[in-house]
Amino acid sequence: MFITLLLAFSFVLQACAPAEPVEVIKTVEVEVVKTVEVEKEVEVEKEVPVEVEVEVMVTPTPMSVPEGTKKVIQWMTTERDPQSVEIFQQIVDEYQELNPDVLIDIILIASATQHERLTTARAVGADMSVIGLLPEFLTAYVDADFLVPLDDVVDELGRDNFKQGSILSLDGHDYAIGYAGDTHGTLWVRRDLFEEAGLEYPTTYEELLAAAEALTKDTDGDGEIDIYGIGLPTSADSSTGIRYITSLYQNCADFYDKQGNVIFDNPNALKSLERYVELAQYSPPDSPAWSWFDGITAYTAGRIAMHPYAGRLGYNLWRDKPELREVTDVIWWPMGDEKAARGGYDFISLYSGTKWPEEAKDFLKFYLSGDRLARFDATVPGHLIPPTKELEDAILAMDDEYIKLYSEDIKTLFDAAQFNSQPELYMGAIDPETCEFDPEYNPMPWAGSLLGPWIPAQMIEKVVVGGESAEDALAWAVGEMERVAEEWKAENPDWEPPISE
Amino acid sequence: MAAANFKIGKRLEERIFAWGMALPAIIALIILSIYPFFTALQSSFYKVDTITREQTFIGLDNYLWVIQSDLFWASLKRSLVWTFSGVSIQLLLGLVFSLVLHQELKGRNAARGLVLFPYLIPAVVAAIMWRFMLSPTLGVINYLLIDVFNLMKTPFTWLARPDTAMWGVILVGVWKYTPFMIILFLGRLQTVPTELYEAAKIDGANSLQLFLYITLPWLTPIIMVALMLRTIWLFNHFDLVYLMAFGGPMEATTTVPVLIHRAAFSDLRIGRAATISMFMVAILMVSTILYTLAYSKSEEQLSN
Repeated sequence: MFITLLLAFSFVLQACAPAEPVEVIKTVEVEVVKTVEVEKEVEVEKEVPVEVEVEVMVTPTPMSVPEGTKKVIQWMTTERDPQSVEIFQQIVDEYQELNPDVLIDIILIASATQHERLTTARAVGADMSVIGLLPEFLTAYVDADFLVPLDDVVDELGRDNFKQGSILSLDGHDYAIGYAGDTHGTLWVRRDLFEEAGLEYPTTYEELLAAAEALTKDTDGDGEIDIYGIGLPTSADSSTGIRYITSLYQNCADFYDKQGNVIFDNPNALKSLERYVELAQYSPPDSPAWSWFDGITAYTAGRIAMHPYAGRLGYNLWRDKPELREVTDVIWWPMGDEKAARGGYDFISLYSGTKWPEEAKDFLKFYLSGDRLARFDATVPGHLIPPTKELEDAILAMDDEYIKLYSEDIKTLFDAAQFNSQPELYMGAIDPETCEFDPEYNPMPWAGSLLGPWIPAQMIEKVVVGGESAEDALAWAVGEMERVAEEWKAENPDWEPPISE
Repeated sequence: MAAANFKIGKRLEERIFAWGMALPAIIALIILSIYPFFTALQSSFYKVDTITREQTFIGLDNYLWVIQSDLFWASLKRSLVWTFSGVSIQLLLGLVFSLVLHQELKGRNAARGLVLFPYLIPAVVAAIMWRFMLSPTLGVINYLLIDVFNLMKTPFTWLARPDTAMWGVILVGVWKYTPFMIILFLGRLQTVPTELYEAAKIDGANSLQLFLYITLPWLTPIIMVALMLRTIWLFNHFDLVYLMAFGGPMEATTTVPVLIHRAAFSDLRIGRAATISMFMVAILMVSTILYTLAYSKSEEQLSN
């Protein structure tokens, strides 16, 4: 009996206990960049040394290995398209040929679990070198000494070459470099359906709403809707939240001002929510369960006439259903009057616990220079928006079938990215009083708490699925935004907003 | 004396051998279960930063939060619905299928192989596959129900409605995990002494009586084991539930394991996640003890 209970207990333990990491204590040698000691002769018996305060850069101490052993650099990436992985492998092979003592290990991870993968890997002491960085966690990662400064890498690549927002900096140091951007200010539309309905492409929200209504149809007369005017997710996750932020900006609203005060309790914010919900009524009934690829699937299956997405929809459509791609265009997504959209870069960083910091930096420079990044960004043309103008031009000039056929669409996507902002990096990008859109680099320190659970998307779900009024849902979201900000500020009482009023 | 010493030496040798055989499993249990359990228990009294793993002692705050949290109790209720609905349906279907597959029917062996198929598919694949199949705009299930069998007029949004999402997940769980019950029951059915049936038939017992007085009592111990295992596994189950509906819509599929995941990786509160898991351990221990007692009783009755 006792043995049975013990076995049962053990079984339950194994099933229940979450994996808790062993805390790894790492000693980091501090490299003192500059020290000045001044000795001055005075009319006293003893000498007085004067120390000058200097800047200290914390860098990991590189390992040394026996001759003949390869230095392994792990490259964790969320880019898992087969063509992207193929290009990665080419770039890795090229680098390894030039550096035979280095082995680059590509590790593919899911973007939805990127943060948990990184934090868990760190907690268990797993080897990591080159990693992707979610911008909402920038402040937390830097505070935790998770990242290696990349100032020298950026300088060597040419700081002025990079577009605004493609370098993440904090406290005067660069920590992440954008390798591919996206934009969620664009809308893919079925040209054939618009022509059939005698509609022009919408340039205002009212026209968009009218088009969505007109294109929602029962095409076979059985009383059931066969095609929906638009596919708009309303689930409580990033696929909804990111689309909603475009509506927020375009309706002249934001979550916080530049000083970190909640400004979401605002008529413009309410309008942005109401418009999103109003448009969503012309979406398929399962859109509350949608995540990222469900919209592409519905569009490819011909079940929706419009879908807001970045460049990937066009490329995937061309690959999977070229006849539908021929009758598809991409336009600016008019959710409001302001020319603004949620968009930004995917960033690459260097983990502070890497065994080979210099080699990893060298590889980063190699990857982000020459034609290599252009080759990667061209694997999904229009979706992976390069961080420099030169790379954009290089991609448009490439001898690639998709790029040649749809260069105008790709230019539309590149142009839309000029109006990008993201609340986690540009807190207070839009002033609700003046509607001035001025994304100034201003990381939101509590972004992880706001966007980890996707409070804005939960708000939409409360209205669409929960049947709450927009006012009540907005009031709830305001309360949550105040709570997460106040909690973070209480734990960090010395924090002052970097941008003063 | 020499014989006694020899006997003691042999017994000691056997004990050492037995412990030696068990030692790898014990070490694995300590490393993979007991140590993480106590680490989680410790974390439950701390506020743990997800990134730095810095710990701040907060006493029973996490426990008080869980007890006072409507979200936790609602998740627990959903876990109980998910677990007991799933276990009951799997048990009934498992019993029926195993009895059918135990009969001497043509194609029985092929059927036994096919019935295992859902169990072999990884939960991730099953979840993604069923999400597509249950889609009202793209899925084959609604197509079959509406266009082929004319059982419905409008597509059913299985996973998009809070009142049906959990049932959609339960049905997929039943499809996936009933084969486990079938395997267990089939194995046990092979061991029923046939002379019991022969004797009962001679005494005039009909099929129902054969089932109620011979088959079912013989199966009862294995049913208890199956119920215990499936209860623990289903209560703990994360991947199928999460991947089908991501805890939504409106938290309709947020069971306790999904809540733990959310606490750890969305809300960034490792200590809270550890605390919720402690509540899970307590609940499962109680139910395991009850099942074990029921199992012992059923074995006793069978031997009588």
